[in-house]
Amino acid sequence: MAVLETKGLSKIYGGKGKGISVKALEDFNMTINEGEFVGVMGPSGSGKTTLLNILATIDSPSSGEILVNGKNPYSLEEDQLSIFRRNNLGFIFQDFNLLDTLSVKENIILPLVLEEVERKEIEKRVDDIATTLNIKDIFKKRTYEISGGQQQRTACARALINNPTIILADEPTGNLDSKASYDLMLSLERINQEKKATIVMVTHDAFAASFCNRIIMIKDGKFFSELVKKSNRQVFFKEILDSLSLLGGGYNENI
Amino acid sequence: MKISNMAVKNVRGNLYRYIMYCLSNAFAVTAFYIFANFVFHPSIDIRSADGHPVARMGAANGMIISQVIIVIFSILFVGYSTSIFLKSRGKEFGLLSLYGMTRKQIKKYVLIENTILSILSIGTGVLTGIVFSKLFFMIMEGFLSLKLPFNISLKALGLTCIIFFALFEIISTFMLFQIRRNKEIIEQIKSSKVPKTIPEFSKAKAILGITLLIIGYIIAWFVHDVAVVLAMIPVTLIVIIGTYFLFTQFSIAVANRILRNEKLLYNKTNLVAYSQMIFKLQDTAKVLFLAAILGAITFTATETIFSFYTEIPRISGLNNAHEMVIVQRGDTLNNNEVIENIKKKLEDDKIKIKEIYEVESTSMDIAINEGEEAETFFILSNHDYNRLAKPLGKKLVEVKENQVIYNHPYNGLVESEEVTEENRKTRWDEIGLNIGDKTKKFKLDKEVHGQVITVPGVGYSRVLVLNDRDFEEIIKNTKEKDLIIYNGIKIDNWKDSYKVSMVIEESLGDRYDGNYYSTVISYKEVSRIYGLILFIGFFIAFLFFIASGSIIYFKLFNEIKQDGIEYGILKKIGTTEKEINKIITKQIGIIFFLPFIVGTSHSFFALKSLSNLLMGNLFSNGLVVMLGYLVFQVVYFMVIRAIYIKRIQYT
Repeated sequence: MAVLETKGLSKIYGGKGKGISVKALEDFNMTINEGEFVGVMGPSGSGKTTLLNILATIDSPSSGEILVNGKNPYSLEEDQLSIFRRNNLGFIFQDFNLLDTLSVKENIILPLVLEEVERKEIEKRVDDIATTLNIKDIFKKRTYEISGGQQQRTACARALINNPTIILADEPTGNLDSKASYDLMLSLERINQEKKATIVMVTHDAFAASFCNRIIMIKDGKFFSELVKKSNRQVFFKEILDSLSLLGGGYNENI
Repeated sequence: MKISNMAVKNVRGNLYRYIMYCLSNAFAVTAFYIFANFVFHPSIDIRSADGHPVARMGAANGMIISQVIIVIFSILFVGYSTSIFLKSRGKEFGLLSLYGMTRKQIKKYVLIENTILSILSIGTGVLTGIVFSKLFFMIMEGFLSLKLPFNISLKALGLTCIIFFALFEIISTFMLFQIRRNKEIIEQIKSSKVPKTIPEFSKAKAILGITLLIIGYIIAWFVHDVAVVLAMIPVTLIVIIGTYFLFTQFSIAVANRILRNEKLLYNKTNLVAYSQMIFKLQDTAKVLFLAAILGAITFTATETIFSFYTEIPRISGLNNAHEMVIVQRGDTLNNNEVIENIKKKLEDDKIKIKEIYEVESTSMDIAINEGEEAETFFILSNHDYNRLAKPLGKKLVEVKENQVIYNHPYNGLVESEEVTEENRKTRWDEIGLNIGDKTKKFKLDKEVHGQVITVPGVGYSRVLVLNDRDFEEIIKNTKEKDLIIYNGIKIDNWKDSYKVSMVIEESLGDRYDGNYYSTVISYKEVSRIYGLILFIGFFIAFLFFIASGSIIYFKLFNEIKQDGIEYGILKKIGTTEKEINKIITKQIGIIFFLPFIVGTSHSFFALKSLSNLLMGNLFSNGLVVMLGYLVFQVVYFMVIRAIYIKRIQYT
């Protein structure tokens, strides 16, 4: 079942007559089904981040529409949109975006507290997720007392805690070293498989992308190609690298 | 681009950060200028004859004292503001050094900025001062009954500009030494990004703070009479130290406790609001402490002055038995139409007469012990005393033959008729009164306190009450020239009777000089003086008030960028703007009202102490002033909250 659909999505920056206008996205279509783990790849300036921002409902498309569970969030009022975001989307950012005034646990449960979920239920869910992500022993710690990998896993837990329809991840490994990246991707893979979470991840990193089931490549704001994982991760990794060299721009300068 | 251009652009771009600072300074300048303009006014010149010279000089001196207070206060305020301001700009200075600006240039840059701000403040202040001078003069005309035509004193103008310009420049130059040297540029650039560690507190200090406050409060509450004066300084010190620990330690301890209460914390926006609160409290503790103390001083001072103002009749002994008194004696003794005339005049002015008490009497000069100076006693019959005492709600008396009751008109500031050995005024048990040529001894039965006749109207204060028969005998043997007819007039709303009182005074002429008295005339004179003090007091209080608010504002807006980042995160994960505004309201509210509450509480106990000293109740009036401040505070809070919400950028 499709949980996320985009139809003829376009985004043009800069407007009528005023300076130059840039087409960041042009007639972009994609469909994401429940339980999928999709990677979006493309060179710098290809429109990946624009796409993710629009999916995240923090930037509106110039034309076209997106449907989350068949509903178009852009038809909502501003505050309703916030609540829609809170209930349907989970976010993982490159720079973690954790509140350093809160402890790890408090950061994770924040969306539930805002939703006025019962405390018992909160405890149950946070316990469950923290076990999956292996961060239970740092619950009491503050964000500046833990490593980048732990911070990103905390952010994952926060994204996951209200059982969102889709998790959107923007370069989640961008600030992590290779070991932490590996751990994080394993975690994401696990929540995809065990919790049946639908994940859309924008990334530069072919290694991170190799954990996905499917990769959508975009270039200059347009759909470029699609890769589907058929066998194991190592093979998929090579396929991704091959496609990237076809994609050009940024990836194949050294080849 | 020159450094000066940069400074101008920076001020223009960040005007909202400086606006409250400028406003506070401008207000200080305004107040200073208005006072100076008054002091230098040609009509205030001591050589000119009209008006009350004493009141005039008193007013001028009051202004000069106020000006000194304003300058001292401005020095502290500007110094403190500049200091926190410079500290908050570490990152900016780091970047400037990165681009190759030398420390000397940075100092120049900041100094130019401060100069712009000071010129702005002085300009606005003086302009407002000129505009409001007219109003001020009109008010002063009322207080001093003297003509003050509008006048702009160039001397005052020059003085104000020079003093404040010098003050601003010297202090900011002095504060520039705070820009630290030898700090790694990278540390400076990152200075605002260093994550805050959770605030720590010492349990002992938190408890000490509360204990000191309680001790101070208890002493303030129970201390009486002269001890109040003795306890004033130590109690103030104890409370100040207590307040310091209250904000730096105890508030953190409470916040910590709240953070452990999951039931309260896990409730919608509370989680974010309270978690951030503990950091905000730590950052602003000293500022809040200052604001609380400043508030306590302001509140107490103005509440006290206001109480004095509203209780003038009681405190100045103006709560008379009869509001208007005509005493007939000598050649006016048989002037029967005088009362009719006064009645008519009062009726014409729509002043309602409640009752007129006519009492026949005499007075005697008696030396209690030989060789002592004679004191004048007013003689009343038992019947007349009771007639006068009854409507005043006093106990009736019965005097036996050959005995007297001594009536002392003042019963102190406490309304109590009880006469104890301690507050007894008479130091005799027997008194000799002249009947004709003979002297007859009368035994003192007892003493009663509280006036039944309006004492200032008669000119002397001691009253003897005699048995009716003894009284008859004395009157029979008194020559006509020594007889007195006391006319006490009770009227409704005596405070409105000023005009007619003056008309009556004029119509009575010299014949009644010293034998006519109207409470309202004395009242007007006293209230003028208190009104003047009150007026100047509020002026300065208002300055303190907006200044303490602006320091909080300052502190708040220094953090706005960091706050914006945090609220941005909240927004991304789906917090509505309404919810974020709720968090902001909660936080600003706590920071704004916490010092207010503490200041109010301090002033409450200070008022209790003062009430004990003055043996009166200052609370009801204090409450009026407090409500006034509360209204101001709420308005101030709403404005700042609105600016903050408008200014915050979610990044």
